[in-house]
Amino acid sequence: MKWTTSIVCIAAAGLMAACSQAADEPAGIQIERAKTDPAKALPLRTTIKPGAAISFGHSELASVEPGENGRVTVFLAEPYAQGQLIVTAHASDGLDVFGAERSMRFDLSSDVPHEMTVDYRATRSGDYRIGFSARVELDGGFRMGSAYAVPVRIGSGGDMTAAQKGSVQTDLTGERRVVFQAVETIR
Amino acid sequence: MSAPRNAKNKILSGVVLALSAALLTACGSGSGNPSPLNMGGSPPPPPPPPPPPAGAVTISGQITFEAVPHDPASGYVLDYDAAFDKAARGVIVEAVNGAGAVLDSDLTDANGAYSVAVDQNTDVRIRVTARLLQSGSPGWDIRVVDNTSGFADYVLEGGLVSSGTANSTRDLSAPSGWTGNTVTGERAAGPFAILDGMYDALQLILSADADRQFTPLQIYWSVDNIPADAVDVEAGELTSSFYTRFSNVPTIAILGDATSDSDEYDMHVITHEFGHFVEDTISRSDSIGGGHSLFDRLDPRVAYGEGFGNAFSGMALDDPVYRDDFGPGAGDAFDFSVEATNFVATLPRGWFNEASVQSILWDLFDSSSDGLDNISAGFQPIYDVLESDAYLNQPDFTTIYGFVSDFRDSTSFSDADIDALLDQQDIFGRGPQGAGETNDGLEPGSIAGPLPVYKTLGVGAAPIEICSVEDNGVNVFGTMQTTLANKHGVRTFFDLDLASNGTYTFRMERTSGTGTRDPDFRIYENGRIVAQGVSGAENNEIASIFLPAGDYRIDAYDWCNTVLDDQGFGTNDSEFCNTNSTNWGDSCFNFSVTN
Repeated sequence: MKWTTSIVCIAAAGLMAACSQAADEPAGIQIERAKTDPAKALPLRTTIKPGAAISFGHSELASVEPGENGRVTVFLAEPYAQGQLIVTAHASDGLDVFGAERSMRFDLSSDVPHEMTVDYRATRSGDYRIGFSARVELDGGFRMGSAYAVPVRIGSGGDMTAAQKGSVQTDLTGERRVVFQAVETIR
Repeated sequence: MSAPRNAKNKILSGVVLALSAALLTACGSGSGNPSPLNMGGSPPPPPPPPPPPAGAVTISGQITFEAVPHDPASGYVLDYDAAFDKAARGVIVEAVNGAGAVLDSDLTDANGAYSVAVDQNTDVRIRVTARLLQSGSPGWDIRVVDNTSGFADYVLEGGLVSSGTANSTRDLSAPSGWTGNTVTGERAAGPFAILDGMYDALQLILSADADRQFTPLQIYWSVDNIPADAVDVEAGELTSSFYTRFSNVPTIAILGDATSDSDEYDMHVITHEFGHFVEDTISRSDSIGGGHSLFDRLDPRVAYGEGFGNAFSGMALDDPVYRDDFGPGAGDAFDFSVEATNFVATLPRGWFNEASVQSILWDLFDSSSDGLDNISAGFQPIYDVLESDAYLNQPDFTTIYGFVSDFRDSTSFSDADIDALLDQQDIFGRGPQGAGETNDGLEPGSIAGPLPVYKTLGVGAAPIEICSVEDNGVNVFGTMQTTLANKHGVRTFFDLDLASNGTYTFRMERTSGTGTRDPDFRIYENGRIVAQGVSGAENNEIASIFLPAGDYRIDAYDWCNTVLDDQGFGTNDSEFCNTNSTNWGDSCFNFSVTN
């Protein structure tokens, strides 16, 4: 099985490498050197919000049609030597998530791989999400959290968050806007 | 990172460049263009609006958004039942006709009030753009756009209604879209809630620098922004909320997914990222970025930047309790106080820990004297350091040492009181380089540590052995591992003072470490990279470089300890690092320079 793994904290590093800053190219004159490794382009700094130091990844998703069951395994890594890691899976509207491992508690003093497998199903095509909220509780009561989302396509897909969004409109000048309707009081 | 990803970023670059150009040219000020920011103290009463021209009427009103507070009684989860209308401050209000032409415009004041004049008996719609804009000095341009809809502006619109023959009032409110903790409608308040945090952060800066002209800032937010496994902003995949630059445009990206994590009401998250914007565009940051937590021993540049961001959020909101909700319906949360001096006894304290940094910065700022905190400096002297020429052009990297050193030099607070705050965080080094530091931040029995914080490199002197230590990052769980690249001990800093121009040969040669390693180094002058040795050569990095006389700093590291393995998220082309996951870990090198 081919795993599609990832690290949230370091995903930014991929972004960094992809978006090098030409303006910061070294100005010194290198008289003699080995060829610069192109993978080592100067990184674009990406500063991420604070959160529990949890790395997430998930298995590759198979194609799933409406009414069929799909399955995903999420992998987590953390650096803590003590405490608990509580992870809970949640489905976006229209998607069901089920299975015994929908909510898991891991002992952080253990080096056993942290994995949880959940099944999902939807009755209609759409682009859904399974959210994983992870909370680290250290001995002494201190806690921090982190989250991860797995996009899930059922059938031919479709926008399942349209009701939350404004309508995209283009005016006569070609400028696009996302338009929300206000609650308006006129006096 | 795959080729398609690079291609996608090129496409994105074009979009952002166009967006940036629009940022620079669009939207002049509205009629009156009042400063939307309260500069402190009691503002004078606003002057009466000028009388409308003959045949015109005035439409005035208040713009609000539905704000959702955190509930301290429930661990700071969002309390949608306690939502309330809050003024949308400093945003653009336009009166547009049925064809979309702008008839007049204004900016809301600190109460969300606006006023526009239009002809009588004209069909008019009030349109509010999620954008803080003021030209001149002070000046700013902060706009929230939908990164999943072609980077379009967010606007809030009322109905198309005749202006009538008399002055009238139109109040517009942006609903949250939440009923209880369930989404039931358009989440119109999101962009305006984000700007509310930005507005508070602007005020903090303006309290210390009333004429500050800010670099334009764009904010990506969408209900489709998820914490994913890689960054693809057009798809809403962010990994987390973050600050960065896209095509050199300062950008804050904010999560918005209601199922996993949405941050539009997490004001500390928003102002934390604004703090990074301040560092990047007003001050200086040498942080290398990446994931972090209060529990981590970090690269000191990262620890300082993140600790600053946390402390800045408390300063901007006048609230030291940082909180961040997550999970479906924001039903889970964590919090910490930047006032706290220690969270858990076993957690690390020191120059490499962001919690230590935030505690020191907050104690310098706040007005309460508690414990060993006898300093109540407020924001002005902190800001003065951050934007000073001495700080911006310091030869050393930006760390807590450099900030405190400049703060000490530029204020009259006693050395004893400043030292007490440092000692409380197990920071014993002093001066911009942390001279005399004894807290190495490594596990007992570790190989050669990072002290002194800066090692002095002499031309022609004997090689100095340095090590890249894995103690503070890697933890492997099956196919997963935690990050190491920005952790404490991975990198060594050198101080190199060159008395004359010349060609210098730098050698970094492996002395220990499993497998084949990839030593690299970068040479900095006042925070700017001027040369580097970053080839893919195995075990030894040798480079001859012409350098003018000057005061340089070097960041030397094992590339194998700064990248990930071959699980699909590494960026390293060095096959011996990338394909053999055992090729990270402790390694040591001799470093020397000759001419």
